Amino acid sequence: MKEEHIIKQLSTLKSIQPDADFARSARTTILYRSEPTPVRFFGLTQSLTNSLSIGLVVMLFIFVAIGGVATMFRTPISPTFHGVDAQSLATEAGSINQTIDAHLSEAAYISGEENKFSMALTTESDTNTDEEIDLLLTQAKGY
Amino acid sequence: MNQSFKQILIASLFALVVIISPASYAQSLDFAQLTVDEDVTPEERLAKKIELTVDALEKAEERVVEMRAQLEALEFEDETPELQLRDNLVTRTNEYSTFYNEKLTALTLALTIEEVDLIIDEIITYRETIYAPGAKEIIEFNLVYSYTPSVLTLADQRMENILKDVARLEGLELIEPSTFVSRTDEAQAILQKAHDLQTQAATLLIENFVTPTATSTLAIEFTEVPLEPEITPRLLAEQSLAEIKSLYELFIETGEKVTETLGIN
Repeated sequence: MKEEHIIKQLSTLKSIQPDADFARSARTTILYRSEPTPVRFFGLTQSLTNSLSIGLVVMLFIFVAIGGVATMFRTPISPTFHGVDAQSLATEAGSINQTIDAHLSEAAYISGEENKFSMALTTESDTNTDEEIDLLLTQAKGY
Repeated sequence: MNQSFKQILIASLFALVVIISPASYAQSLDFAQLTVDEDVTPEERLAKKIELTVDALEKAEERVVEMRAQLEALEFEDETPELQLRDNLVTRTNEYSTFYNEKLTALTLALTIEEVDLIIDEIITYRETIYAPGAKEIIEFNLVYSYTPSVLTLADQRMENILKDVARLEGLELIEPSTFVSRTDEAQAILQKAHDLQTQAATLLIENFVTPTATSTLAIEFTEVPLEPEITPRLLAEQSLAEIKSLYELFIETGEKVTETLGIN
């Protein structure tokens, strides 16, 4: 008895229909609404924005932690104000001085002059090649 | 524990002695005044003499190759005296190479100490009479056309960067405008002088090549600073490089002054 009653009730539900006005407005809404953003893409952009924000905050903390603007001038890693950076200037000046002395030393030696520049050469790689060759020959002759 | 520490310490000291001693000993030796041990056999002497001479010849050849490469790396307009002079110098380096290679071959055929000594004498004489005067010209040419311009280019770039930095710092109101004017003006004047000296060195070099007996027209310009009696391209190039050295001292001072002004030191 109970089952029959339920089946009857369900059968009556078949004939349920929406109100004509509601059906029209609902159809219009469905057909003309804008395309929804794909969930995946939305998720990605959201994730990128979040990462960027976190990244910027982390960078700010690091910047503050390492000393801010003042350190920019002190550290050689910073490309900012590289022209007046003391360490970079000292390195370049040292390298230039060494190169100049090496070339002038070569010229002085081959001209048979007292080599005032060889005093400035400190490392073995800076040894005047011609001088080294002549010393080898002298050594070979005297052996 | 204490015992093993002692063992490690002794082992470390021993390793240090083994590593450092030969180097110190080698450094203390006068390179040209090595003496022959009395117990060295004539065969060993011959072998050592050949070894040292071969070493010298190979180094000499490397040196010539390096010189030639530097010359060939320089580019000049066609049919200019600069190109002609450069080609002459390249030819000269080829002659040096030929000589050194001939002597290397001769050494392989030498059987006695006397023969090797004769070859060594020939090499020494050649280097003194033929190689040295020619190499002097090559070194001078490279000094004027290669080394000095490359150093000047570097100094130009540095000058430009310093001027930019000073302008930016002024723009950011971190330094007072015109605080560094006198320094940058002085630096620009020194740099210009270095450029002028290099140009004059190049002019004189070509002048000497085209008319070897001609006296320099640049002599009058240098009466203000008569450092040496004869003005040569090499001297002018050296003066140019000396200016660059003093320029860098000024650059360093300027850099220090900037940091001091900004209160970051």
